[in-house]
Amino acid sequence: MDAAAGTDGSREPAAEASLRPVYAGPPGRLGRIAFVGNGLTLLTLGVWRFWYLTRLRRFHWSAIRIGGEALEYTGRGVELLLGFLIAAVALGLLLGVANLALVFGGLTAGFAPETAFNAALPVLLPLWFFAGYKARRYRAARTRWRGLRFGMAAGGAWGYALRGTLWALALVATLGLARPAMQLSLRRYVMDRTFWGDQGFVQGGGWRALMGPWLLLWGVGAAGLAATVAVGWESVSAALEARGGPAPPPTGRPVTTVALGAATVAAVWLLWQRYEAAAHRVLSGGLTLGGARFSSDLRAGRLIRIRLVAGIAYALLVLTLGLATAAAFGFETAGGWLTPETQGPAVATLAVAYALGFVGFGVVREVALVRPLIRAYAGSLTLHRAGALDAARQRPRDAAEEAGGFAEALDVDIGI
Amino acid sequence: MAKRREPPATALARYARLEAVGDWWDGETARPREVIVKFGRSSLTLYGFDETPLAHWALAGLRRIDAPGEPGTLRLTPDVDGDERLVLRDPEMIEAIRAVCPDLDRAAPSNGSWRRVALWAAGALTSIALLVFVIVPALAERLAPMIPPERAAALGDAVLERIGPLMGGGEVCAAPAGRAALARMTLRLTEAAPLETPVKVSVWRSPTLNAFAVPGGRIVILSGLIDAAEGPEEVAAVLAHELGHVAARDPLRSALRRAGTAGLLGLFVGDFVGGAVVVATAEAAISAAYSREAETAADRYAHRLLGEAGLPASALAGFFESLADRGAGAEGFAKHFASHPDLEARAEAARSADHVGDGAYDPVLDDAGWIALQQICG
Repeated sequence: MDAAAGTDGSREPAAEASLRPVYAGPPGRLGRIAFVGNGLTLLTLGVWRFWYLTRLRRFHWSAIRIGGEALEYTGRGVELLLGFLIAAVALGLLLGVANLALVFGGLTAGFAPETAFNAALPVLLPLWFFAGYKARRYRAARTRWRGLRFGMAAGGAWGYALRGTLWALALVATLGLARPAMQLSLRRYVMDRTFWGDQGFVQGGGWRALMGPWLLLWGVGAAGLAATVAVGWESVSAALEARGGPAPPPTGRPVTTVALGAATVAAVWLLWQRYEAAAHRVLSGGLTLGGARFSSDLRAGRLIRIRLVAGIAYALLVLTLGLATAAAFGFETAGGWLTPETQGPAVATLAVAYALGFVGFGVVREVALVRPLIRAYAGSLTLHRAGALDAARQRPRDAAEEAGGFAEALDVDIGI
Repeated sequence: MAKRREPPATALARYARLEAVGDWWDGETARPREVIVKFGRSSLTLYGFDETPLAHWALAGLRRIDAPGEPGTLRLTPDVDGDERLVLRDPEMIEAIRAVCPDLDRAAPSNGSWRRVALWAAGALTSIALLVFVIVPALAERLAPMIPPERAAALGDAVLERIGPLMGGGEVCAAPAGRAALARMTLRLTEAAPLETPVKVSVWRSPTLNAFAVPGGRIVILSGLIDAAEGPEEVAAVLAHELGHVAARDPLRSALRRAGTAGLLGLFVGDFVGGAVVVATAEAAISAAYSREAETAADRYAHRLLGEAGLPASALAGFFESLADRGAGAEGFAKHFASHPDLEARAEAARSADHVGDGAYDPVLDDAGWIALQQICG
């Protein structure tokens, strides 16, 4: 059994004491939960995922200890299922009729058929934000720390959907430059409506602090893209002109183009990690709860390391599965490709490889990616003047028994 | 279970003198209180350090809060869904409580939440069924005639561009004499029953025995069908069937219907990869059910049209029989996924609709025309 670490830390913090959350969830146990959960999800054609998600949350919540006291998740799988069903009824009707109407409208108005058939996607945008708020509210209502419930104001979801949609349009209009302002505005909307017991969170801080890292990321991305297109134009247009005809002799500088493109992607990825870390520091630094306040010292290097290691783990898994499947096929089809005798074994091999891959990816994702990320984010926080929270009192229950379902149906981010 | 459990009363007597320190959160304030925990007669008693009893929790009501990320800790609540918490880390005490409280992990009563799940699940299925089988088809039926012909034609051309590569490249056969023969054949049928939509018939080079219609009155006959036909009347019969689809605007309706149901089933199955298989299967079954209906209607249209054009409807039967000879029919369970009805039944229906019989009729193409059509692909 993995040792439980980090249960120290004084239980009655002095008024000026600072608390640092400790993440102490044993990876072996998480791996087992992920293995069983993904396996059952596969066997039940997806129905088990609500219970699996609940189990995961219980694990991660109870692994985070602030001042020695762990968070608690009291949500239940059946509540997620219920929310999902309710959302499915509403979404199904909406999607069906809206899709049809939009496609008809698009075709009649003379848009290209492809455009008309994709026109329904924006309808989902407000719903996507709506779902995000609902899911957050459900999670908050099912989370406790020191015996007191978290909670979110009811009825903020449509306001959030409106803001989110307007910001998304602004994001497109500014070619992405508005992202820091969007992030802070939406976060403020959410946090200002979040409570722990009778204490309210307040999100301060300004987006200008985030503009530097974002502009750098944006500028490098735009410049890299422009340079790649400029250098590669000759090769690409030559290839396009020769389409269907004989292959032309290579023109332009294809190697330089590919190298430039790869360098741009790598640089943007690294700068993205830097922006993420900076955003977490700025947002946490501006957050207060009652008389206490937060700060974070998350570094980009940590995120980069975690994601690289997870990438290697994924690659190893793919390699192992690929080799094993190839070996099995070589054995089964020695006499030729898919004769009636080998068809059955080949399909069985593929099915087994698929199942192993599905479960394997789920386990690697939880153990190598999600756990280290939660650990890094939670562990970077400090709660200052924690003593100010000692006077907090319980808040009334949030009766909503479902919610969260729209997020399930729409595949909204369902992490912490 | 390998370990035999002692009767709770005996176990309780054994742990009577056991005591341990724990953290008690009263569920009203954020201040913890260190307490001493002992067993009472049938309860767990929490004492302050000055020995004053603070709370008696009935053993029968005790529930464990599941906290898999916190090994070595037992988190208790005095009753299901209670606000108070007792956190124990003493291994002996944890073992003792596990031994005397059999209901520790019993789930909260569902408050009818399973009944609500059943109701909403039924509601979800009903609304989706309503949508897939009633609302969307009805809307598609109403809307299809309202789409301007030139827009439908543009959609049809886009569809042909998409499926061309899937059908042997979509190479259009255009030998002039063959095209002239095809035009004569088309004219003979469309004069018998004029259509609202102008028709555009073409032949693609492909060994497959098939023909299809896409939106905008576009009909494609694959050259494999002409090669397999025993005479021009068989080709004309298939063309009449496709004209039936055009007259009913089946391709356009089906495109609209698909737009309405796209993504709907994916919503239910969730975002894991195996779900794609389930969704594809269900979609195939649903769309096959519609298309079988449309095929039967197109067959009936063809029977009538052939009769009006003075041609034998039994030629359609000949085509179905050569399809069946090639093993193209579906048997048993696969019938549910077949987009076309049972071939034998269709051949039978075509024969019984035939009014020409063995009598003489004006052939749809003369011998020279039939040879030209057979050589349309050069």
